[in-house]
Amino acid sequence: MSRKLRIALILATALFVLAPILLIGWQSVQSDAFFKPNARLSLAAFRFVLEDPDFYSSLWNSVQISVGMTLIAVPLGSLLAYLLVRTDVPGAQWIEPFVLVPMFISSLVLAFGYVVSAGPVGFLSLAAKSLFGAVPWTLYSKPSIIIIAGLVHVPHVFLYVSTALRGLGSDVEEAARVSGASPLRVAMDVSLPMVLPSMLFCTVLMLFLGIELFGLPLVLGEPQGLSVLATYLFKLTNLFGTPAYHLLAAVAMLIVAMTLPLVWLQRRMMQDADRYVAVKGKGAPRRRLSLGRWRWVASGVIVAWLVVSVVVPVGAVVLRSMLKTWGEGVPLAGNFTLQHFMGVFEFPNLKRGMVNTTLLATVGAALSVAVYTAVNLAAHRWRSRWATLLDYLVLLPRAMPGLVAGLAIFWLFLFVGVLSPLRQTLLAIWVAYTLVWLGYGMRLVSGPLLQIGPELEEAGRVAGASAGLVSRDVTLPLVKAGLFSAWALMFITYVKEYSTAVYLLGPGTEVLGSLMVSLWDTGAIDTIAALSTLNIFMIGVGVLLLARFGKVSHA
Amino acid sequence: MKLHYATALSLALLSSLSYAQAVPRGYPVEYAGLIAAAEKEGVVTVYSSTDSKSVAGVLQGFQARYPKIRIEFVDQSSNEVYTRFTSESAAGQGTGDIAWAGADTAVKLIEDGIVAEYVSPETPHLRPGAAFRNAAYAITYEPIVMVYNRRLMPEVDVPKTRQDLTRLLSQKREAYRGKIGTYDVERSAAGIGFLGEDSRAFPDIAWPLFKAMAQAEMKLFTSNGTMVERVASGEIALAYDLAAANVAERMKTDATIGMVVPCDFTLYLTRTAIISNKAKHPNAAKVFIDYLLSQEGQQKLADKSIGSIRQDVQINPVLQPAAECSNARALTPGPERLVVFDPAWRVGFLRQWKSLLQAK
Repeated sequence: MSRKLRIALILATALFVLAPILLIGWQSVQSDAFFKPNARLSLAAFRFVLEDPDFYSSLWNSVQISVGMTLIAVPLGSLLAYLLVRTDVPGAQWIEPFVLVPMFISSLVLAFGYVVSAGPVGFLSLAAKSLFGAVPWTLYSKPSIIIIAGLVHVPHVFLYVSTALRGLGSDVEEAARVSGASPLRVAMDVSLPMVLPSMLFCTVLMLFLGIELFGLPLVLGEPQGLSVLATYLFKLTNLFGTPAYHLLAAVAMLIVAMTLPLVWLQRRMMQDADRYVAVKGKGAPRRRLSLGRWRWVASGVIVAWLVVSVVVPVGAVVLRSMLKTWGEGVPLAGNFTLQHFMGVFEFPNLKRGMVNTTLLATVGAALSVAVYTAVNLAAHRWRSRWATLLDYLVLLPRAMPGLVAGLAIFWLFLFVGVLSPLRQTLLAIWVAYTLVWLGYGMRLVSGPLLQIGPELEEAGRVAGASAGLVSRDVTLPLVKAGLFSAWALMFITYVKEYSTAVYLLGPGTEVLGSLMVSLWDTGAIDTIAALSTLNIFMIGVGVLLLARFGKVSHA
Repeated sequence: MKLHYATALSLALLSSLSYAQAVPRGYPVEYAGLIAAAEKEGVVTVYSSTDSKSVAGVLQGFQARYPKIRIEFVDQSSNEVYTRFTSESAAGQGTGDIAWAGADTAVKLIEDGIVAEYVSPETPHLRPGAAFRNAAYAITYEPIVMVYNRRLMPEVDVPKTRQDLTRLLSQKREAYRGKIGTYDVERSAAGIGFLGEDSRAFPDIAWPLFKAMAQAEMKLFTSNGTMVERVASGEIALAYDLAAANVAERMKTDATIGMVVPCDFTLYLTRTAIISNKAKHPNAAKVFIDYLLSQEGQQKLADKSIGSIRQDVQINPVLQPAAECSNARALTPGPERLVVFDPAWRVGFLRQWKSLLQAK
């Protein structure tokens, strides 16, 4: 890639990222909505937020939950990736697709699944009560939220780390094993350190996701009055009867400011990226490591995780979708019904919602990955201030809470003349999604890119190929598997996403996520359960197809 | 009854045989011109806080009567409707034609100066107070109720009034500790609307009740649906101050749930529609609002358990308070709806509310 093209791409990204952030920055120092004639420059919003004790308690809760869930998800997700990708754990091909399932389900629905199964009168709780005389856990508490958030974010980590692990030759692992190291030792001292960049990215991303967490704390924290940053924003929209945009913007800017040191830290730790080069000029055979007698222990661990974070909540949602009513003292028998599924088809916009969601998740996600790859290649192995700038930029959009990002993007499409014709189209939604998930997608693509030995690319250059040709014929084919899982992750993300586009969604551009939330507000939980069940079913089919397709592509 | 259906059927047949532009019965002849203009516009955009499932029937009805006008229906929360309407108006690019949300949002939009005037020919058939300043029309009339679990609450405990509930919670506080739910007024617009109105309308009834609920360690929620689900499962025994529509719909299949339309006074939510003064399809918007207010449109809403702003419509009987309970207090559109936007009132109410929670 030529220098000019690189700079142009980075500048375009900067414009794309900074426009909404600057708009929110501007809004945060206004006394009212920026488009109102009575809006003045003012720091009142920051003063209000910084003097509000609820802000600090919400922030503290968010930090605890975010750190706690990261501490659970990153080690567990990495271990799972190692076991399923690098070892001969039994049934890996069958387990692997199901590991991703929690990612597909809206967190509101997942949380609701836990309420139905493990809440005070949930099916499991009642069973436990009849066994032990009391329910041995409390679902509505901070520790429960941390544990559940940690467990259900394992798939995100799994996707990142497994992608990196797949690119690794097994020569070093075998060397360690031959020298007498146990499988666990190999994982801890050899394989996982090799994919440290991916794990570090994951850690930062998990912290971001934790700060943003909305559905789980809303459903599980609500009865105890537990407030986190995302639910605090919710309160701000309601505090004055009409949304207090300047306060929302001020909180968003504070969060953005807090994330900058995180990015800096991650950059410091990653300074020596060359250490992690694993795809070298000399091809190395990839064989699965034999676990020996640990095989069954390993599969026990995986199955236990699957039960707690997939089978329990998903099973509960599916069961709930077929029940007229449930709870303490209600027998299941006689309460089964299929009419909630009929209710789903009463929706006027359902078909359009499904078509739009599918389009965005397949074609849209693929296009987003293409964009991320292009931007990534612009900074790939380029020691320049421009590349540094890019590192700071890409995570910024995600640092803004979904609610605020949605507002910013809506306003941009509304007030910027050239964009406004697109406002009511799917393209606007695609742009919004691509922007908000820039950081995630970039990381997904950049992890595998860093594993490519520079000598491979240099060989291409020496042989006389232009920079563009090297990218096309050397770098890209080598990261094909990485791009594929990046697409898979974006697919999943886009299936669930809605908050970013909440103000852009309109007639003709409905997506399933927004339908679900509008139902949640008005209370048709029967229908939500049925819709989720159908959703899970469709996704299940998709996952199985992906597994088959994936196997072929790895062969 | 059969005869009634037969006439309805033949009327429907008749109207489908005649021109689609037929002026509805009782409307002035000039209305034909409005319909023609509306059909020329061909589309009406509605931003609504009423969910698309509840309005599916009425939308289909409109479509059948005016096949040349397409409805673009966007369902969102009242807050989102407000944000979208005001932003679009400020950007000067045209807005949705109709905002259909809580009466307070509608009146606020009038105050913001972005609402068009229109006198609907249906006005004389509506309940008093349904129309405001020839601009805002209350479309629904939905009681705010208590919802309880029939398995958990013995018949003697089921309150008929707010005072009954206050008494129950002080006499059997232990039994109902943590078993009562209501809206989190800090985080829910509906919550501060309903409980706030309770406290303004009858402070001597409302505050003792709020205090008793706080002492019984009530749980606070942000959405109607989560509360109903938790009442059904028995996680809580009773939820206070919920809009009745989706509860009544659920009661059709779920025998666990009971509903009390409080007798001391009954609060009514009126979801209210206004037309934007920057609407691109003002005529279609007028025709749509008239259809919503018509007997046919109201009946289709009532079929989904949405209480009617007209008195000549068959509503779900569970929405009807007992005959002797006639003390209705409707949140109809009017200047008094603006009080929820008054910071002084909000701060005062929230402070008093929070002090109850902390005192316990």
